[in-house]
Amino acid sequence: MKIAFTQSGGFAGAIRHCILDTGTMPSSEAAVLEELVRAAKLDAAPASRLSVSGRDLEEYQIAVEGDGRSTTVVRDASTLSPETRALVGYLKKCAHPGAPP
Amino acid sequence: MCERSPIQCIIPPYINEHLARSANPSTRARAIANLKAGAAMRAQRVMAQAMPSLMVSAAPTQKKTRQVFDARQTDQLPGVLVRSEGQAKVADKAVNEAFDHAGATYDFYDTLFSRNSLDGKGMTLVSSVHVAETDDSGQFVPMNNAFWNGEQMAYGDGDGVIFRAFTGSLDVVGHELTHGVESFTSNLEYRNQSGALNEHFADVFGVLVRQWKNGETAAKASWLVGAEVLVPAPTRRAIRDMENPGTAFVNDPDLGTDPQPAHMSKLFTGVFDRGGVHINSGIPNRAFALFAKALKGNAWDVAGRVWYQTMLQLTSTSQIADCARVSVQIAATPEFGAAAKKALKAAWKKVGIAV
Repeated sequence: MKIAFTQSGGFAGAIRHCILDTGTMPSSEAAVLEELVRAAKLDAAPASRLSVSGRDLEEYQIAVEGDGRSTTVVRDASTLSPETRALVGYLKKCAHPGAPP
Repeated sequence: MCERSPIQCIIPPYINEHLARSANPSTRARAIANLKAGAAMRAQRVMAQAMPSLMVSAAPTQKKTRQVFDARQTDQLPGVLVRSEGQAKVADKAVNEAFDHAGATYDFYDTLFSRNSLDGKGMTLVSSVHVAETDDSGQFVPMNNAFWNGEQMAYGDGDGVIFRAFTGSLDVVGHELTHGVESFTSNLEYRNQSGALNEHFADVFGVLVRQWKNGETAAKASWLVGAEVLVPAPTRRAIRDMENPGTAFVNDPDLGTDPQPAHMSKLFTGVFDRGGVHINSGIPNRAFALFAKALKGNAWDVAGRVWYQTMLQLTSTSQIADCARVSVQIAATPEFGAAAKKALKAAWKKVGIAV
């Protein structure tokens, strides 16, 4: 499973990203990430949910590729489900400055 | 059965739905009443998100009214009320900063533009400090951000590595409150170019509040946004530089390099950040800084007044070129003097827009 995460917006507007591949991670770490992705149920969720009236909220794009399928969702800090929030918490720790290639 | 406002109820809709089928007519009636009231409250919330003026309790005789809440390192807003209008300083520095900076922003709009709070009708200024966010294990961690949620301001304390408390910067507070002002005026749609203008006006008036409060002339003033919020490091001077977009931070280990363009030829057209609202704001930011400096004197006197009227005339779908056109029209009016229109056209030309 490949996950591409991009954080943007927030007051500072800084763009950070990471690209992870569970196939190349230690298996225990891969299991943690796969479980977070599974729990977030991204396939069943709307592709985009952004606050109408919020300003300077952090924005998150999560793209997951695996089992021949790909799913991309966009959220901000106010529209995250608890499960997606946990996944974002994990992905934020891996992200580094810059936009994805 | 809950007989108070459904906002205070702890009975969830699915229990009321079950009770609405009860054999007992009195139980059915109360459950149905609760479901109707709950649905109305949810409908109002959806409407209020789309129409901010619905959320304002009309109090036309009310003047400066501030409330500061402590979210106590949680993400629940607003939190606990810790300081109200008329109350003295408290021990918590972030509370006092939120209170004082909201007051300065109110005074700026009132003194210069006769604007009574964000909605022009004395709307209470609500801030929450010590707002946190959850990490991957559900633990609360300090938030590296400040935001406006449509009704109030929220300030994080920062991680102490990259960011400090967001209440520490007057221009950050002014920026957030200006988003509120915009929701009652141009209401620029928060994406792509209109969103970049929304961000731009928030930066302009945030910085002007600071320059006005400190009595700084345009030539001597700082055009940096959020400098006080960053933990100092040689690779970063501020979050944004209005005069020199793209230079606020360079090869910074935490922030990277400032992505703001200084010219329309480098307009960001990607999807991130709602189409670059914090990125493309650099272009009109530079035009404003150049305009203000060309006029000499205080930036808020002429440039700020032109910009305030521009903000009021733009609409939700205005593009950067519309801002240029409207601002030049306004600058041409006699109240601003002959030099204003010329200086403004030159400033817009520098960033790639011919008016």
